[in-house]
Amino acid sequence: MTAWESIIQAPRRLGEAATQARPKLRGIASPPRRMGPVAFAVTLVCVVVAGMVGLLALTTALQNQAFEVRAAQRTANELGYRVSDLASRVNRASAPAELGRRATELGMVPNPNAVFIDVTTGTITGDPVPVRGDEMPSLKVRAVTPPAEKPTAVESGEQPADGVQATDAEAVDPAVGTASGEGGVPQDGALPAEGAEADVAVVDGADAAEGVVR
Amino acid sequence: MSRPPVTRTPGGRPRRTGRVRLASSAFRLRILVLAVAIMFSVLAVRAIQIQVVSAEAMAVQAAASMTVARDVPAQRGSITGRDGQVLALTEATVNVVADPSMIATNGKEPEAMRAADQAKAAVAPTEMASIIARHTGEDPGELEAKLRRVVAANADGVETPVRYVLLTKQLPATTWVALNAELSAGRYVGVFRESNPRRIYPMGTVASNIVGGMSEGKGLLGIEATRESDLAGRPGRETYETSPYGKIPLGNQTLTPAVDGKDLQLTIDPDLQWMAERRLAERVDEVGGNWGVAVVMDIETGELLSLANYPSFDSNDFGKAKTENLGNRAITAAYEPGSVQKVLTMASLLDAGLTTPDTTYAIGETVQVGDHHVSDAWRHGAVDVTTRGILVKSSNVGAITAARAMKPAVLRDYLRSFGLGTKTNLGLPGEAAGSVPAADMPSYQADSMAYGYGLSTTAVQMAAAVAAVANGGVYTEPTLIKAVGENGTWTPSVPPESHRVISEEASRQTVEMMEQRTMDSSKQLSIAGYRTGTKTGTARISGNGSGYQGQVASIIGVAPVEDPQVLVYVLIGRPDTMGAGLGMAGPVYRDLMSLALPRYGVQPRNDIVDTKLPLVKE
Repeated sequence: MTAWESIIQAPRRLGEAATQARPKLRGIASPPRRMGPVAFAVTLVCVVVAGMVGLLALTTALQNQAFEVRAAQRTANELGYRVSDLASRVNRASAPAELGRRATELGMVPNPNAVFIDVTTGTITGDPVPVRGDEMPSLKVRAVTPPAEKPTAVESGEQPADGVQATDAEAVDPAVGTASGEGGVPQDGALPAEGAEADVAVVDGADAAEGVVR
Repeated sequence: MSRPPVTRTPGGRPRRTGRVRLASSAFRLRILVLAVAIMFSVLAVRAIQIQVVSAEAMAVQAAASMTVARDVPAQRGSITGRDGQVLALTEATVNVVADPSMIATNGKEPEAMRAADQAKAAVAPTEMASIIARHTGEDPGELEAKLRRVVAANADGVETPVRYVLLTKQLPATTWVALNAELSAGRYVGVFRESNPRRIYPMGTVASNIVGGMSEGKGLLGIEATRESDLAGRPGRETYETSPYGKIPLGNQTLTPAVDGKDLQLTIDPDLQWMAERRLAERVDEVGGNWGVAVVMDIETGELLSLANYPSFDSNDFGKAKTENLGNRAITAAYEPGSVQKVLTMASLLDAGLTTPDTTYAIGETVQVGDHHVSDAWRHGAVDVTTRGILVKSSNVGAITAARAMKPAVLRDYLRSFGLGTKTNLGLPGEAAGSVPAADMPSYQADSMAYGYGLSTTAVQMAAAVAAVANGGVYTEPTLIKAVGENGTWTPSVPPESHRVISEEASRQTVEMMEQRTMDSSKQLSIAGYRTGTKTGTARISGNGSGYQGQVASIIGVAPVEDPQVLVYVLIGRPDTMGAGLGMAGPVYRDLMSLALPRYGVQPRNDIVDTKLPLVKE
């Protein structure tokens, strides 16, 4: 064997020697295959994007609900305003002065001689007296200026009934114009005569110091 | 001597470079790195300062700059009549305000305005003023001027942008909704609302002397003033975070809710109150009086059904009324009750067993009281008058003679027990206590007290005292508040204090004597179908100085006699001494009693017999 051949053969011999000296190889479980860097980056981005989209969706839903709540509150407020406004109108319309005015317009007159009817027996308690129309003229209301309210041109269109009332209110009740007779009251001139029942008294002025009408 | 460095070019020819080291890339790079390092170091220091050193203060400052806090107004309680009719309530009204600077830029930042924004901003004030004027009734010219005033000089003469201007006050909220919808439809910006509720009194003058009125958001008169703390409630507080686009929906928010005011239900019957006010006003004007009071009372419960005053005022606009008419004379005016007082004197004598209705007293034309002689309006010579006759004929001489049988201190105690000299504590401002003479009063004062002089009462005190006589002798403190409501639940007021003053027998006898008074003037006083008892009175009013100034004519009545339920007391004051209780106040009394009896279910009778009993011994 030439030197050259020895050199060529040397590795093989070395390999054989190594093979003979090496312990027996055993199969081992291969480690899980690692994700490639690109795939990893893509996955990471996907997770982040999904999270952000989810968060955005959640936030948007909550915001939308908040907006809905605000809108509902606004509607509730507006309806509350409406209730307040209508309640005010009802209260004004049911005030005694307003009812008196409407009653007078309808030609109704006060009757101080009330009687009671027992509906089960039909018995009348009291003495029915027809009214003349001049009883208690102070309870007839010819015209009433309603309590001050902001002039609202837009709203007035919603209340045609009020407009009608305003016109009717100017009508003069003939019964009122002729009120007189027993329903009338004594004039000043009659007063001294009634003074006959006055209680003339002499009182020490110092003792009457409390009797100050303020 | 050193030589300048020599470099060789590719061509091999040497070149002299001068300050070549300064221009080297490495050096420049070092400088740049140093500069960047310094810059970031500064930023880092600043970051540490902000994030670590003053982190808390900065966070608080940041939160404060974006957090808005505002009061949540409490709803003021309402005041209603005995059956729930509303006498006072709070209406939702708003102030309309504008931000002229915002309108001038159409809601944009000035530099972000486009041509369309500029065109819109130029005409917006005119068009908005027109819309607002239609809803509010304000003058469009004035509104436009307010909307166009975008800068104003402050105290130092420096011009600052105007961000707030008030356009109209207390506009009904429904009108604001319509106005806002129209502005929104036209895409106008810069007009807002502020809540500013308005107190309204739907019945105007009815019971205004009781309900009172408000000024600057607080009760100033009547129940509105005395029950301010109950009615007002307690405002809440709301804090929330805002951005330039408004409230941040998910930002930090806290809300302390407001506690609404309590509702008050009065014992007053507004319908009867209105009728009483109308009838009283008419009569006072007819007889030339300068004021009048009408009290209607439920005898059994002490509840005041009406407390009418004239002249009165409209609670919605009490600024127009005279100051002296803003109170309630039924409780603020103390006066000498005059002959109405004889009811109490006679009731006391009957209770003490010192007289009977038929006991007679021999009296002359006059009786000496101290240095004076007191006479009667009823003309008579020497006569034997019965106790009944003293009351019916309103005999001063008889009352003094009869009362002399009782020790003055005892009569005083009776009067005190009837409630005279003590405030009724109705809950209205300015109530007078009146006065009763001291127990060791001189004899002339005791004589005066017997027929209604030398002591003073208010109308409500006198009404409650006579109600005690009619209520089987039991005094019941008058009341004005029927119930207090909280969150829709009504709590009835504590039952009023009551105590017996005279016996039932003395009560019955006194009321029957009062019935004889009605029969004596039946044409003026009787009411068909009912037995009624009355007593008239006329007393002089003392002036501011010494002496008298005008008089009070009064009449008090109870019905029905067999079981008294309703009391009516009418007083009319006038500046002179003309007229008397029967003529001046009688018609008002009769009308009010006629209205009140059937109104409260007191049925008339068809079997009334008018039997006049002896007033004098024949």
